[in-house]
Amino acid sequence: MKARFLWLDVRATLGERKTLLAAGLMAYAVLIMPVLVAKPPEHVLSALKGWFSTSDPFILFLFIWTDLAMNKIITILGVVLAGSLLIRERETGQLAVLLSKPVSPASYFLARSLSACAVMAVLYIGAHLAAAPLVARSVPGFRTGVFFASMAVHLFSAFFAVCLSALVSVLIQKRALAGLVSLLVLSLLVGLAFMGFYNPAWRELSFFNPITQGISVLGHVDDLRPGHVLAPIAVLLGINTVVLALGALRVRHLEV
Amino acid sequence: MQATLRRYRLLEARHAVGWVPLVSLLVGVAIVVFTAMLIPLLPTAVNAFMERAFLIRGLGAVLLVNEYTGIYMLAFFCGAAGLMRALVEPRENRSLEMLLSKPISRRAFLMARVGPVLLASTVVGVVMSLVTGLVVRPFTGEGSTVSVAGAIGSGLIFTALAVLLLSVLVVPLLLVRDAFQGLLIAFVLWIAPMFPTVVLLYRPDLYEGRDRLRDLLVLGPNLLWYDASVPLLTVIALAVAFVGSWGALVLGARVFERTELR
Repeated sequence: MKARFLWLDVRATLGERKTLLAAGLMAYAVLIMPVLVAKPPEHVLSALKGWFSTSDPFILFLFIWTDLAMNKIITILGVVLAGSLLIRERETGQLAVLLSKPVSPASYFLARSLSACAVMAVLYIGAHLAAAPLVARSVPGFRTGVFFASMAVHLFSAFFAVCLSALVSVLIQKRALAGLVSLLVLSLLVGLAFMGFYNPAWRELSFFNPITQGISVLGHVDDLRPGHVLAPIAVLLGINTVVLALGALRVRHLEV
Repeated sequence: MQATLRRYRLLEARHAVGWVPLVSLLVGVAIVVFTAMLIPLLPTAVNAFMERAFLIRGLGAVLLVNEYTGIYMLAFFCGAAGLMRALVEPRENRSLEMLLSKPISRRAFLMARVGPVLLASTVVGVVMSLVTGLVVRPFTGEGSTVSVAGAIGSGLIFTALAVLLLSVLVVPLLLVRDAFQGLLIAFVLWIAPMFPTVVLLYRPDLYEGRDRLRDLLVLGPNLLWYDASVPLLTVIALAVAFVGSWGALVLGARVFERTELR
């Protein structure tokens, strides 16, 4: 029953106009990337070498792709996909009807959050699959394995953006304010994500930033091992589980 | 009738000034102060990179480039959230028809709802600009490339840009039925003027031989390049934003007159 509900919700969200708009945003990021990395200035290459301890030209693409494109997109998509969870249903009076079915408020919240994560995954992985062949031709030294390893980890940061927006939504219960708060918190985390690379003295501190966990593969482009991928995924899974559990707890006491 | 409309406008204004502008204002001021504390703590190489990439000089200029982004973001998204609440949510909740069944024209309804939101965004931008003027003071003086007047003026220019874009945003928001679809459109509108600055960062060669275009489009750094002219540019930007916003709202009112309410 829950699996079917999840599937129906994913299908419905994928057909919504906002999802198509989001796909358009992803497509734009894919298309613009070869232009941005085509002729990097020397000072950018030298700065990247200092921050990521590698002279691999592929780091330029991975940095721009992760920081400029994906970090910004997951911030806004997290809010767009999960920022009004349960608020809209309550405002339109649908929540009482939905909860009269054999589904608890917590299960409903989790199902909707996971559905938003699934839609995020479709858009996010789709963008990477579309980008890989296009960028492989234009970026010298493109490394498919590192690209998809980075995607695998950063995807869980994208899930964090969804889970956080869902939690803020049920905590604040006012759509505009909840959307704004989620956007500000996520923007702040994105803005601080690379601080550990800019200033190694702050590396331990930025461990607690979920977006920093998501970009950690950039620090291991030359010596990537399974642990560099699995460890941040495990940390992000833990963070996301806690965030969703807090949301589910809050929903149990929500007035319908 | 005029007195009733005044009372109606006051009620809408009171409704608009809720938590959204207050949270934006508090977070905005905190971000300005936090940025001013953070930037000097970054390694010299990072700030030198910013100076080289954005063709600016001095820690004060690096600080201001970051502060302007914050002002632009807070002023814009405070307004975008307010507009979502004022324009899209009533349609989503199917309460728009009921609201317009009162003897209030659509134009009066639109202006009464949008006006306070734009005003709240302006206040957020103005306060953040003034605080930016305060935090940049230690970096001004002999030999510095930045000034308090330039910092405040540039903050006001970014505020004016945010308000102008919000006025333009009103038109698509009157046509969508999902608040978060509106947020996505708002995001696209917000980020578009920043692209020329990204191009300067990663593809400065595209501006070679096009100095005037670069000076015009690269928002943020360009205001630092012309710091002495910023007071005059601020007056021009405010006038353009005022006229542009008014025009966009008139267009919005026309669109609203023809829009299906359901």
